[in-house]
Amino acid sequence: MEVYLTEEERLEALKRWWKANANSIVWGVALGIAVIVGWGAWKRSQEEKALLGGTLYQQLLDAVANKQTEAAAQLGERIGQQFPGSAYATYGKLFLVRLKVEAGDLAGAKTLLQQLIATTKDEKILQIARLRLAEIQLGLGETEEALRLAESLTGSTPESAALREELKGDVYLAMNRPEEARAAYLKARRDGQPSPLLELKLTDLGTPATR
Amino acid sequence: MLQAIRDKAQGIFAWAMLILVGIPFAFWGINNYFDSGKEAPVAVVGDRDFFERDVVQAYQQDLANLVGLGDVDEKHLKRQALERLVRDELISQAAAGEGLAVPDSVVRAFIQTLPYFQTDGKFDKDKYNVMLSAQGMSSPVFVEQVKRALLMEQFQRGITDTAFVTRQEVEAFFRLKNQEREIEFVTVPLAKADEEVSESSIDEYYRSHPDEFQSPETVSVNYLLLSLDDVAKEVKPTEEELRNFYEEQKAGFTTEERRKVSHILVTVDPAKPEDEAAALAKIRQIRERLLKGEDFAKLAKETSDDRVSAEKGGDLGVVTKGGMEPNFEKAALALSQGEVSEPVRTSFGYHLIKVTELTPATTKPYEQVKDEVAAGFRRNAAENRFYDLGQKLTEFAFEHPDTLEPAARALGLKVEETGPFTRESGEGISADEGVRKAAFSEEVLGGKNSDVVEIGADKVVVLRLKEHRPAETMSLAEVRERIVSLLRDRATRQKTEALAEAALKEMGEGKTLGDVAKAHNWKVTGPLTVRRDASGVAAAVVNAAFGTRELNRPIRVALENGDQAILRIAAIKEGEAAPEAEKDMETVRQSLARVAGQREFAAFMAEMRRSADVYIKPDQD
Repeated sequence: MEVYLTEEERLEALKRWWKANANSIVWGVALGIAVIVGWGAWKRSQEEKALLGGTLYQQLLDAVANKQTEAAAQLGERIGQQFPGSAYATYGKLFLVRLKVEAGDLAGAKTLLQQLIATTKDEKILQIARLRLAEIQLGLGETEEALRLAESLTGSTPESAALREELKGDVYLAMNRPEEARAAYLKARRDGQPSPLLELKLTDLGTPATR
Repeated sequence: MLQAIRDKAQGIFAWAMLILVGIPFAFWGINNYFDSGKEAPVAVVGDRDFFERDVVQAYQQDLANLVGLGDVDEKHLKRQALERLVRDELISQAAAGEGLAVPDSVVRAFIQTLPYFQTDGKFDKDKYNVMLSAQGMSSPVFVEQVKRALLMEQFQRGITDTAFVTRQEVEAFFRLKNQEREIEFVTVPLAKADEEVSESSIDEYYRSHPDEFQSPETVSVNYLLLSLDDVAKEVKPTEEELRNFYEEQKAGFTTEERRKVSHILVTVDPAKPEDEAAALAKIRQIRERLLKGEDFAKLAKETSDDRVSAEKGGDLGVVTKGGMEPNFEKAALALSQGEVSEPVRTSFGYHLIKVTELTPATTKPYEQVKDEVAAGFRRNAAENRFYDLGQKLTEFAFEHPDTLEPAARALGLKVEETGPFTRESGEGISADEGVRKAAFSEEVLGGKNSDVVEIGADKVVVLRLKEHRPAETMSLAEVRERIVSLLRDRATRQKTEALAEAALKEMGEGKTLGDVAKAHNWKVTGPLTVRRDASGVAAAVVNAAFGTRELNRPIRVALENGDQAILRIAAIKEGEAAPEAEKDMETVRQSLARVAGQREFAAFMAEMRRSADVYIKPDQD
């Protein structure tokens, strides 16, 4: 390394170095600043979007809780259009499904759920959506499809298994296959929390009420 | 080197260096430099660590909600608290990961609806601040917590509030719940068994059920009892001791002198000493009038400058020591009853004092209080002696752990004994829980003397095992009666059951319920319609009626009182919601949907928990 003895020499060396590198340094710094500013702006816009989504979703929750069906449906639609692909859009759709079921429009609910299943990537949401779709198919009397769907559910925790088996039991019962229904209900009873309704279904099939 | 850096610190190099030094802070944060030697987390969820103190805090919150619910299993509760922390953290991380967000306006609006912060239904900023500081919390921290809770709620309600039940499911529920069954049954009353219970069956039962005939573990003990009363009786004071005690305690037998005084005051203003003579002249004048026979009270009213007492004829009440100025007190104490003092100078001015009432001090003479003195003396002496003897008892019992005799001789006590008693109850000294505990202690059961056990404040005992009878099977003779009644009861039930079974067989061969009932003269109930919640019919019958869907096959049911019933289901009528009861259906629908939502969310969370990056320190359970 060179050793500079006097102030002038050092200044001289610095100037030379600056001349050689000024261009790239200026550009580098400018690029850096641009990236930082751009990143910040993007983040802010994402946050703003999330906050707007949050506000609309909160309004949706309130509307549903207050049984303002009309407003809730509009909010659900609007969230889906404004924030496609977001979690809020998914929840909005799930709310729309519920509203349709409550209005007695099972076919409409079915279509919506099928759309949701086709687009969502979240495996857990997918499981819930399939379970609900099977319930709707059972309600529509499409028992074969409902059974196939129920059997395709993959949740491996006892909580998931209990839900799945009870649904299968309901489907079997609708298909007038009481023995299979009983077997499914018994599995649900083994895996799930105590449920009075499940007990009722079991006793009606002639199974003692004790565990 | 350092000097060189400092010299250059003015120029461009200093900046370069500062930036270089700053980089690690910017990237890794200052805290990395300080957290070496930190405690190990008990759980890790993603990038969040939980420590023992977090669990304890959560546990204490739970505990506060459980107050009054009796014993709680601390370990279990802590485990639950930890699970809750993990769960909540999973939810809030997932919510944040999905890009959910709660606007400040929503947080603010929510806080303002909380009733704790409201006065007359309106948000009260002062109350809000007071409540928060009472909780030791700052507003930003609280807002952050609320925000987190609302965020979690957004996430959770996305599942729980979107759950539904179809109309078909609601109808299925009503079909089951309101289902009716038409039944008919006969009651087979408890039949009396004819044959006597045989000796061999008693013997057989006794031998095959040893567990039912256990006598409880008992202990009986020998003991030395030292009581304060007994010690007090032993104290025989001499006449001289009693007289000395009387002298010592004389104050207790003395009533003090009582002296009530009145006064007349002529004030002297301290600022005007020249009035002194006039005041003195005036008070002398008043005294003259008194001596001539005028009434003190009347004169006080007329002339005294102490207007308060003047109204009451100069009365000042009973003289208490130190309650007056020394001059006044001295003069008052020197007077006899009815006498009027010379003028007395105090800081107020000149007084004339009269004693209006005087009860001299009295001391009850020894002869009059002799019994009292003796009792006091005994109690006093016995307490010391009781303590000394107790010490002595402790020493002897300890030094001779295998016998009570030396202690008994040394203290002049008699060895007494108890009857057998259990860990739970006893009589005499064994009624005391401490005594029972000592009697069943390892050392006593092992044949040693017990420690000294206090019974109340005035009795102590030392125990020694006399007999220990472990829990054992009682002899046949002791329990024979019990077995006989048990077997007799069983035989009658069996006979009743056999009768019912026989009837069941006959019905299988074509007889009707009515035929059988007629033949045996049994009571027929029904046909009648029951629901699941029917209360007019025995619960066992209702349960059996809903236990199968098979019609007309006779079912035998054991009733609680030993009777038997034979039951026939004639028809099943599926239930339905009453057409006018749309409201009922709505209520049921909501409640079923709520349950469905909770179960679906639980399943959702269980799946999430399974696949999530969660570490829990193993020794937590």
